[in-house]
Amino acid sequence: MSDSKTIAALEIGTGKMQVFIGEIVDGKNLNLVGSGQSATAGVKKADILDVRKAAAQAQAAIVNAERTMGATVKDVCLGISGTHIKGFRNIGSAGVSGADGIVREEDVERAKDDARNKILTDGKAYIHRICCGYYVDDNFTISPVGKYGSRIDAEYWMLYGDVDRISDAIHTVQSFGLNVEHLVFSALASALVVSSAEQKNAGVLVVDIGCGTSDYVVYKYGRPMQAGVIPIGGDHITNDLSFGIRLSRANSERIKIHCGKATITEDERNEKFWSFGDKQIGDKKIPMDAINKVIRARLEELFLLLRAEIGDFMGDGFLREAVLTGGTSNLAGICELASAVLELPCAKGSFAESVDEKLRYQEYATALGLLEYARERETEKKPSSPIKDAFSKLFKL
Amino acid sequence: MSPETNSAQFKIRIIGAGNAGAAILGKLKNIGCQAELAATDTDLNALSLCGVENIFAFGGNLTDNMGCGGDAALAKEAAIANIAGIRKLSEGADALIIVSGLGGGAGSIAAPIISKLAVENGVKCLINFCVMPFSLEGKERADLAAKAFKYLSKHSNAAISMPNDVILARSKLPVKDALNQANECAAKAVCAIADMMMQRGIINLDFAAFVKIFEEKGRSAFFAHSEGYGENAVEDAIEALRDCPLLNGSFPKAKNLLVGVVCGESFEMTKMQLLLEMLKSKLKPSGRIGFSVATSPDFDSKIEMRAFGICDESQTDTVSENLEQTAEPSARQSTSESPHETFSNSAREPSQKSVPAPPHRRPSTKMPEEDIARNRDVDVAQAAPASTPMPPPVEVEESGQKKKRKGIFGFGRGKEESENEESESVKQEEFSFMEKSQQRGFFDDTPPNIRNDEDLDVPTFMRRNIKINLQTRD
Repeated sequence: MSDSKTIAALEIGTGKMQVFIGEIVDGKNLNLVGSGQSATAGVKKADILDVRKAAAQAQAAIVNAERTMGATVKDVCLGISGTHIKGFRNIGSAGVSGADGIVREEDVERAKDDARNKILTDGKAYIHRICCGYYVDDNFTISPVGKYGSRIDAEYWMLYGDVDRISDAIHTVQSFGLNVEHLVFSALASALVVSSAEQKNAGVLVVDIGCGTSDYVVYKYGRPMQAGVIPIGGDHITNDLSFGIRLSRANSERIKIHCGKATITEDERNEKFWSFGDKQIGDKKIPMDAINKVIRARLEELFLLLRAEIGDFMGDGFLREAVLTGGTSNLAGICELASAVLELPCAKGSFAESVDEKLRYQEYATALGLLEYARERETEKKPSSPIKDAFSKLFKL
Repeated sequence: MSPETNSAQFKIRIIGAGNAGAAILGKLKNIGCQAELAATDTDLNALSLCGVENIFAFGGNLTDNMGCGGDAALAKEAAIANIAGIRKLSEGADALIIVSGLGGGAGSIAAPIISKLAVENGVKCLINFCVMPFSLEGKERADLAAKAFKYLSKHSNAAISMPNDVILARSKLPVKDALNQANECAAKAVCAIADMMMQRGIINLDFAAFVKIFEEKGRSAFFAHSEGYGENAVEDAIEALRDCPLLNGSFPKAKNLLVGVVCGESFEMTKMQLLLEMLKSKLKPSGRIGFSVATSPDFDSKIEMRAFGICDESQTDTVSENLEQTAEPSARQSTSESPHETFSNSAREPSQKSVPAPPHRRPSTKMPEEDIARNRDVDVAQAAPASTPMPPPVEVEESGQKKKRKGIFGFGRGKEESENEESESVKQEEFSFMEKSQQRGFFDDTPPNIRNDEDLDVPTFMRRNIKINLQTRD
């Protein structure tokens, strides 16, 4: 008798509310059984400004998804982002207790506890406490148990946010009677589907450039090493364009999507676009150069801020590549610009074979990643199956 | 304008005096400097190795052309014995740049002698570029160098000193590469000076104007050059100018100032104006200003900037400052590199911004909001048994430190300081933007998005003063 669990992955995005409903069978197989989408309201820069509006839209998306599946869900794996999310590195230590100087499980646990139990200031709460690795007498290792040394340190990346904002997000879901089972930082979710295990092992930077914010996570040795938010997203580009080329927001958005380029060639520089395209009064030609200048200034700033933030990992070949995902990563030329600024080979996120072709859009990366995250947690709960099912990740619409 | 003052026809010669001078000249040749090059030293061997064709060894019989071993008295004797040959070096040149490494024998002696003879030979503009010795080379050398430099600054139109310490203190390179880099740095600066005199561009500076700016002898001079790339080339170049090793990380107060700019062919006039305004606000020239612009098809979005001038008299003498500072940075560097003091990055000199190699171990970082000092300093390498209390907490100050980069696309720099200083500069009508705080548009109803003292919701191009041209020609 197979044991299945249905869970909805909800991303409360600045651009859209995206829901995928997945069925986790035996804690390892994942079937995508429903999907829904709705416009977003009350969310800016990935922060929920109006809980009521956001809740109504989120509910609409979930109802849509439930309709495609023909059943209801109870549990939600909720993606969270926002400008309030920050992180810091914390190192906890413990002495090696055994007389033989061999690190034991208990020592590791003590070091981990020491690192994890750092108290936050009032009004802040942890979203993730990520163990990045250990140091046995200052030598980095992933599996310290059995190593010889006198002291063990656990390195943690502590990701936290405002309690109010986090509870706003949770309330948004709870307000229509659903239970938030997992709360996941959105870039961590996205990274699960757009980067492979090999990439994570070799060192990869995943940047989810959404509408409101850009969330990033650094992976090395298969573990997340650092994660955070750069409060710049696609909306900023649109806003900049509306100032730079003096058009309405809607028109700027259209120009961004259709003609926006992060890097342009000398030939393209002289191209021009009609601002409305209807050749009526007020329609004017806009030089590509102007559009590019605005977009490039913004994206350069984004990648430079990012570069400064992950300064610990830059250089020395620690990171092998950067992967861009999220809606804004569809902007032409963004990878070239990113690789120039970050000095890393850069590509858009590629999805695993198991993901249905209809779902292979960068915009879906977070929501798909949330389902994958839920599946992984479920698998951890049921470690009974000795053989890992190679075909476990099966997305089907 | 009389033909002999036209820079197209006049001769610039660069003379390398002493071992260091010859080595820098060798680099100059590699860079492809257009000026005539001549090297002189007591050591014939070193001269023949530097790759410059026109060489003159003045050691003669006294040293058997084998160098003077840092003996100034011996070098002086040799120079006097071969004075005719040294005189020839400066003959026929209109402008002379003498490059020397001071502190040793040949350089400290030859440079002043050549300077003196050059003036006698009727050289119209004499510039001395001196590399000062390391502080660790001893007081004797430093004194000799200071003495020589004092003489040179008195007798030349401009004397520029480059403290070796400042350049090398930043460097974690192997000795050979570091010295090479120092020489290259000097060579680039010298080449830039020569270029300024020779370059033909859109706006030219004739030689007479050049001489006029450096009319008074005996004033302390400064020279700096920098490059900028991309959209913010101007801001980058200004920022990089301050970091130029020749300026010790701060802008001097200038009296007369000469600005040379080489830019791509598409460089906009508004940017040029911005550059001049910014430069003026930084250097505050009180006297003459000379200005030259040249374009280069290879440059595209890159600009190269040179600022050359003499210091305002009311200000402190940069030369003596330079000499005093030679000892400081290295001392600071050595303490900050000692294994017990790795926690305080903020104590570093602003000029020492070389990006360090990623640490073997990443330190704990502070929570941005709070100051709970539970993080331990990571490099306290004492193994702490579980029962003993932790060593006293040491805060790792990293968040407060502003990261500044010199490279491509430099963002996040002290915009405000330039704005404050720009207050006296002329208002530019092209940048008639509204108040920055009001330019948030779509994000008006959201809290400010402050990073590095800038509101990220305000369009980047406005904060960076990037001009968006919406005009179409058809």
